[in-house]
Amino acid sequence: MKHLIRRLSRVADSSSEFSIRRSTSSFRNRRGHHRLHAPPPPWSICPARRVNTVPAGHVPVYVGEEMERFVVSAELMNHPIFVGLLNRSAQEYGYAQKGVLHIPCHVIVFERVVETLRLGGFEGSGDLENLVASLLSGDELIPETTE
Amino acid sequence: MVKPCWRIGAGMERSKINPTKVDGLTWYKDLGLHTFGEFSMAMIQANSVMEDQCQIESGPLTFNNPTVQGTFVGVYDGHGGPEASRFIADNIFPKLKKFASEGREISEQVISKAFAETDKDFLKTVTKQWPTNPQMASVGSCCLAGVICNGLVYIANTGDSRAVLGRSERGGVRAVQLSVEHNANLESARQELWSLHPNDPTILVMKHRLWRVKGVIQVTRSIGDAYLKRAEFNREPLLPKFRLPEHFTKPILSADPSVTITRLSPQDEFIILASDGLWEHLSNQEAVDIVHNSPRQGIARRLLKAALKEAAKKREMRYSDLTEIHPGVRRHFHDDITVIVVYLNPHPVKTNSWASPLSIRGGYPMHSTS
Repeated sequence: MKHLIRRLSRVADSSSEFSIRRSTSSFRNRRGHHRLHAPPPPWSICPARRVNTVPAGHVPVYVGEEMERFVVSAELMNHPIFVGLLNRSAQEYGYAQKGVLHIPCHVIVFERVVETLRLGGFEGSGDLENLVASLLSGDELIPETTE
Repeated sequence: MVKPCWRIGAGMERSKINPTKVDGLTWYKDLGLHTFGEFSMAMIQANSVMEDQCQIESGPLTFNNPTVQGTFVGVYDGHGGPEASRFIADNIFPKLKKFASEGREISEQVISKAFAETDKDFLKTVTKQWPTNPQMASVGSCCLAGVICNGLVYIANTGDSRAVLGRSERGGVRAVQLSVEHNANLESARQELWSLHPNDPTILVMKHRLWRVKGVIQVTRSIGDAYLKRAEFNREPLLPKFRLPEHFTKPILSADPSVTITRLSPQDEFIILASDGLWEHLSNQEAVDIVHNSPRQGIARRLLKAALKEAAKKREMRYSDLTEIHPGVRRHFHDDITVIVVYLNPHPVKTNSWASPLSIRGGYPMHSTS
């Protein structure tokens, strides 16, 4: 676990080029109908603090110790990398957590992972590939209880 | 109106006679006819492999006494894998018929013996498979069985599924819970375990804000879960998360069902039998109100949808978006859910339907992503 946290921190340090603002605009573009040449991105993320209702096709999540609220597309939830994040959540809080799902991950890492997914995957992004490998492997990430 | 034209068959042949439907992750039989009235069944998968199983059997309940006619309903909520719930669905009803044939009648003892022998035989299978498939020792299932016969309803329960009777009362319907549950988050179940294991300070441990037996499992009785019944399985190569740090001599979980017997009255309209996946989102009264106020056709699917809408609401998302979430990932939003609604008529629907027994099995095979 310590190994994973170190890795998360390292990735977090190099992720400043990805911003919430960019994520927000991509979400708006997805809702538009007049984009040429660029199909709507399959996945999007936006901060939901100022959004009263969750947009159609999206699921809210709380991220990190600071419980920052985001909405992510329902489709993104099915991505193996996101499944890794959800399994971390179940391992930490169980399946029966009340209300919005809480993902135990640094906000800045979460943003970078989702943004990378949105832009077309993890090819050529060594740090993130390693991060994902960490997320998806190891017994420690399988929920320890049986239901 | 569905005509009572069913015959017992096997596999695909049977499903042609008793058409059931699959829609994505949902399996259902919107309306059918059992010995004492109509029924409706529905299931939805949340785990990557469907762990719930269910069945309804209607007709003779013994091999040797054709006057003992009735309806058997089973809801089996598996955990750790689908093997235990599938084993119950394959075995418990034939065992019930076998024991009922010995005394030529249905009784509490007959049902309890069917549970005990099903558990014993599953543990034999675990022993046999231990060298090649040791993880079978950590597979288990809740088992809820209802038998309607001779104006009585027997509800036998091991685990935390639930049976609720809808009884008409002053223009409405009142929920009467018929099952006794075994879940560590019920005070009665905790007291039972503490009194059975007074010298084990870690028999119950709070984890993720929920009580769990040995910090692992919420149910306090089950079929299977060999690793908590026999110390011989508490070792490698069982996964470390299932291995207990200390040796034990007395079984930690038991397979004994709690049995209730209720004499049916004309006010008793229907019984809902469902896995805990339904009851974590709907109260007993909410469920009976839905059944009382809705058409019979598709009532089980209606209950399922009501539970899923509630699950989506709790996660602050839309029901329509929940349906986009794949099995496995779904488990973070709701559990596998099985619901069977059995409507009650005081007398057998048609005398000649006795010659046409009914057998429907739900939950296998379902979608698998693993």
